[in-house]
Amino acid sequence: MVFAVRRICLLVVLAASGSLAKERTAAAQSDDSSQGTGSVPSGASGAVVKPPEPAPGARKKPVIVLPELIHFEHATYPPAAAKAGQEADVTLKLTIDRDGNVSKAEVPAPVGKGFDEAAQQAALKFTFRPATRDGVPIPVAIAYRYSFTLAPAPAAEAAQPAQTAGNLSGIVRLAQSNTPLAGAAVTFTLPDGTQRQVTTDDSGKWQLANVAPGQYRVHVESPGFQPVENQEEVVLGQETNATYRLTPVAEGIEITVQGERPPREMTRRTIERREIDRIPGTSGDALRSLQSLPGVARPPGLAGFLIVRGSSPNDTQVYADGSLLPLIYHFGGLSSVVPTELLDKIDFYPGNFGAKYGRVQGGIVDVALRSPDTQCLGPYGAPTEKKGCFHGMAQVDLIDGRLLLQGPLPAKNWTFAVAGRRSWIDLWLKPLLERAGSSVTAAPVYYDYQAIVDHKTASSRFSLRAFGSDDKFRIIITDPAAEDPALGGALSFGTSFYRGQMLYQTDLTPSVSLDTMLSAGKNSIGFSVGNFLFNLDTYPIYARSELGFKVATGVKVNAGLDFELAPYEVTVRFPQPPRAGEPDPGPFASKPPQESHVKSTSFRPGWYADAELQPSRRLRIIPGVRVDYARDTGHGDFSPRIVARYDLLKGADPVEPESNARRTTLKGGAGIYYQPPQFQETNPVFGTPGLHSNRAVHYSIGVEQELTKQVELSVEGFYKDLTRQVARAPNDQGTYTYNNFGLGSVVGMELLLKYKPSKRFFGWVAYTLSRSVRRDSPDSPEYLFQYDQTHNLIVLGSYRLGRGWEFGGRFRIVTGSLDTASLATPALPALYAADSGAYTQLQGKPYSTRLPLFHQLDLRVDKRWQFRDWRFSTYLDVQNVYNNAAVEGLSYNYDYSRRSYQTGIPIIPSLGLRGEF
Amino acid sequence: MQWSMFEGWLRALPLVSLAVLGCGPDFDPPSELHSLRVLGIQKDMPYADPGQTVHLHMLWEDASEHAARSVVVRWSGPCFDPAADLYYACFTDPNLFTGMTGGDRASFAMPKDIISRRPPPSDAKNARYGIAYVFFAVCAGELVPVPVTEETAFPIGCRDESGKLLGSDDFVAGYVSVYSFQSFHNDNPFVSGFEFQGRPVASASFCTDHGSADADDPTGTDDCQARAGSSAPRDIDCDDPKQAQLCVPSCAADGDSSCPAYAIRPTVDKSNVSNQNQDDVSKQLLGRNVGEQMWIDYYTDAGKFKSAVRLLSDATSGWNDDYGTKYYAPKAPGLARVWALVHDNRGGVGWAGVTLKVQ
Repeated sequence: MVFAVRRICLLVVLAASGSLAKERTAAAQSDDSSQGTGSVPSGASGAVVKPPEPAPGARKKPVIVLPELIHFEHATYPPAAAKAGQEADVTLKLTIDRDGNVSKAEVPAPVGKGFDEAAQQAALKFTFRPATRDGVPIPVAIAYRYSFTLAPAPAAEAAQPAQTAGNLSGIVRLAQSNTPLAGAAVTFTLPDGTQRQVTTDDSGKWQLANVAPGQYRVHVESPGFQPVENQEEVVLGQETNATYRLTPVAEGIEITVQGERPPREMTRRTIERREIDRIPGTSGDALRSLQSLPGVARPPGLAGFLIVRGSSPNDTQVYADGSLLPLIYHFGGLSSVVPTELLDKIDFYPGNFGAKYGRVQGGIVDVALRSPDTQCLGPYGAPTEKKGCFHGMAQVDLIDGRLLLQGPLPAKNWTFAVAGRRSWIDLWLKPLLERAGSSVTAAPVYYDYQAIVDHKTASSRFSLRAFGSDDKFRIIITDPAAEDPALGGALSFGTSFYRGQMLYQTDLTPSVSLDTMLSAGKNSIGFSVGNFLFNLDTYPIYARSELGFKVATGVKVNAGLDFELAPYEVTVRFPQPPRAGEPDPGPFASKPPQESHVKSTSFRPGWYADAELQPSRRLRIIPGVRVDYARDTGHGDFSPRIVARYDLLKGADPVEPESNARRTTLKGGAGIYYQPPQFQETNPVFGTPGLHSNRAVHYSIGVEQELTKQVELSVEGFYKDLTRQVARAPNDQGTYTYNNFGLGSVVGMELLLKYKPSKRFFGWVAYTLSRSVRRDSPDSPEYLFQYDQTHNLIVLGSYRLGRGWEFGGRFRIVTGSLDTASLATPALPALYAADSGAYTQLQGKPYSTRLPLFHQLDLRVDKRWQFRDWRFSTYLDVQNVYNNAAVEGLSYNYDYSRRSYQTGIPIIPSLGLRGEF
Repeated sequence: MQWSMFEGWLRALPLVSLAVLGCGPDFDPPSELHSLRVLGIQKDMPYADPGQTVHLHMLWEDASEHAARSVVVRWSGPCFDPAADLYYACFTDPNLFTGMTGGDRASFAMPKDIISRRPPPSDAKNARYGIAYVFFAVCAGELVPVPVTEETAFPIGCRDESGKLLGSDDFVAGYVSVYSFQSFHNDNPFVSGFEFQGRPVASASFCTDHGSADADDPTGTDDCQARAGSSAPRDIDCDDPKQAQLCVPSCAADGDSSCPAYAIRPTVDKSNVSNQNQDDVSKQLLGRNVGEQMWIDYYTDAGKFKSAVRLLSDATSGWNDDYGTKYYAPKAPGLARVWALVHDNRGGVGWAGVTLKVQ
């Protein structure tokens, strides 16, 4: 028996109206995507198609281009079925990622006999040109019908040529797409009333050659689509060419465009899940991966600072779905307070971010917690359509251990996830500290926990979360440091926070969306040593709510509020510590402490609005404005901002899918950003009430260039003008008077050459060039900012070798950090501070000493074993593979007359084990 | 809400970890004396009353190989209430170092309005005070003014006979501060003796100086006065049972921790009223008793210590009975001098010295 497998068709696409678009091949395709209504076409197979953002009948939808199949994989015809002469249609639900790869192929209605598995296996090897939304690639889920048909035996009459007179040919495509439709039946009613039928080939083409001139009625049909008919004329000696577009009428399969809304910021760098836990040198820690992006400087040593575009770490804020996190890392840098397993993605805005974010003049990191996963897996992890299964995970590494359980709740559409983590650094750090002469009363330990309850429908999401973190550490230092012996004795340190958070996202109407976040909880920071202490308890309530209005075609307006209400109680008992750039004031040892105890409520409301304007398909402009008020300073701030993106060259044109056009986008932005003073700066004891907010103006301009389907280059220049920066000057009261005379600027360039994640590989080259300077007043000398870093080059990649193996590496070469060195001979390098018995460093120009170049190679190997019902994986992440003694600071002898380099951590291997089901 | 000033410290904890886990050079610890050093300056009144005369007494040592050379000790005039209490803000006074007085002792009068002439603190709970700085220079050569280019540079240098400016092995400069509160006072810690190898050292074999160091009425043993090594240490008769405990064999490993360890510590009686002072400033802020933070600096001119600085009393956890250290003998035989300086966090200091014999 002769048989063949015939690729059939995409079944369903976006719910766009328009039954059939018939056009001449050469005709330009009109941009008709605005006609979508979200209505449900009905038909024989009666599909219900749900676009993610149902558009009202009169409103213009976002321009969505469906995925286009560019590589088809023939399935293996099940031998038994072939032998039995059985045929079948398998309807698949394919999840296609931003790169056009099929990440999941599910069979909602199995037909059995081996057809389902064969179709699944083939479909997973398909490659699509990814779907786009307003030109931006997006992941989608589509339905695809794979038909298994046996090829008919060659018919004698088929070989007989008809009378030659003219040709009639054409192509059948999907409506609103260039995706060819294979297997469609094209029936011709000849002028003599006879009928002939052909089937479109893999490229959707059909031909009726050598037919008599005259009017031909052409009927095109394919299962799951509305049939179309049209009249064509065959002219003697000519070829008539026609294109038909079919509209799907599928039912029962929901299409959800999983893409994100287009960015409202000039630059958003997103780290996908595929990348988050595989970046070498981070031990799989999500937020540490941020330090591999352009615009982020390498922090000194193990510090977990986020130094973004030459700004202070305090100038960058981290949110969890819009709720401000008081700290990012356990113990300042060990691991993130939110475990990687619960993150969906991390969005990072290095500058020129939208009006949605305020009270910050540096950058923004917004991490999104994921929805609980209840997708069921078949044996050996095979994907299935079924939902409602539980998943669990247990992981241990050298730092901590963690557990995660997620699954469905009894009520429909409700799911949950709970997770927890505890460190065991106390096991190895305690003896280390005791050997160093300390009595450890509470060994360093941290833990964090998360609980998520989610309710999700096609048009809304409601999520309740509770998450928190706690770090504790208490020792008695019986060998105080010779440099400042007062900083000895009992030392305790603790940070903790917890949050209750509610998210609600819904479409109120087809043109109005609502996105609301409310959170409340507590932050605590405590630190004491000797008779000095700092305790801060805050009970922050964050409320964010945004309404999005699709006003007209290409116009969307967003308006929102961003409130921060924080009752707090703070006790500070310290001498005035020096600020960055100030000379060493001498040891604390004999200085009497000053104390401030304040119990009050901070209220910082903010309102914002922006407009997403798309006057043409190539241009996107987002002007925005934000108004903030800080009750503690008594001042308000008005922040206008604008960003624009223009596609100088569009990507692959839907009309010419075979073209090699690569997108070129120009982008630019300017905006004003305010950051209120730190609380101690306006505190009556430690600071000066009435200060204004720090002010920064961000300018940036850049270009994005698609080099290949997978590779994109982004180059961006930026300039930050810092004014009204809080500075201080000594006063006669024995303290300092704060002012807004500080100035500064940051200028730089970022380059990102990125290979977008594919099934096998991801990686990038990131380079940042920058210079960041400050002045304490217009008359004072300019000096390099503490964290200025001229060059920062990062090359990383990770490759899946197969059989569960993945190998990755990261190499960094970075300009050395800055330090303020002691005065050199013949000047005296230090003074003896007799009250403490220690020396006070006599410093030169602040941050004028550049430490040697930093370079480091990190490697990571992952191996995964898939068993029938669970998976086991392990990784080895080796930091500083060639054990480079990187210089992290200057080290001095007791009187600062001799100095040497303090080097960083040596080679550190980290091993992790994970089991999950 | 952010308090970056303090949160910055918290964030700096990883740097502390780095100091533990990372690698740094091994410099000689401050406890080992090999050059010209100032070990301490004692004020007869660590907290002086307005209008009171404050007496200063310096303990210094020339442990260099040129110990017999001439050393100049000079004191500046007092600098009162500099901006933000910063010592280097005094350098703006052009007359600060003119007319410096010499000798191991100095005195100055605290102005009667040292407190009242300053604006009161914005929070009345914080104590009102005045402050005086006195600078000093100890030079194994000649003191000369030097041009300064940096804000904090010290405007006095020390040069040798050839005119070359000497470095910190031969020139020590520094400052001492004296606070004046309306009603707060402080005593210097009281050191009553020395213990070596777990037993008290005979009184004739050690010296102490615990304050009230008035130039006209000095207390303590002469050995501890002024220059620590000014008088040759008395030899020790190791055959005398009373002195035998001070004799230790030399160690081929030259003070390394592999050498035999000898327990050593000053005798500091925690029941002594001078050692039970409250930290009045913190007490006023907290509304409860808060002890002083106290620690001991150990020094020796031969041999090494296990720990150069030891906690004596913590403000919150209290007295640390284990405040002694271990002494490791040097390779070379001879006399080894050991000093222990007991500090509190309010400018008080008391000290004791003992001589050991390395055989």
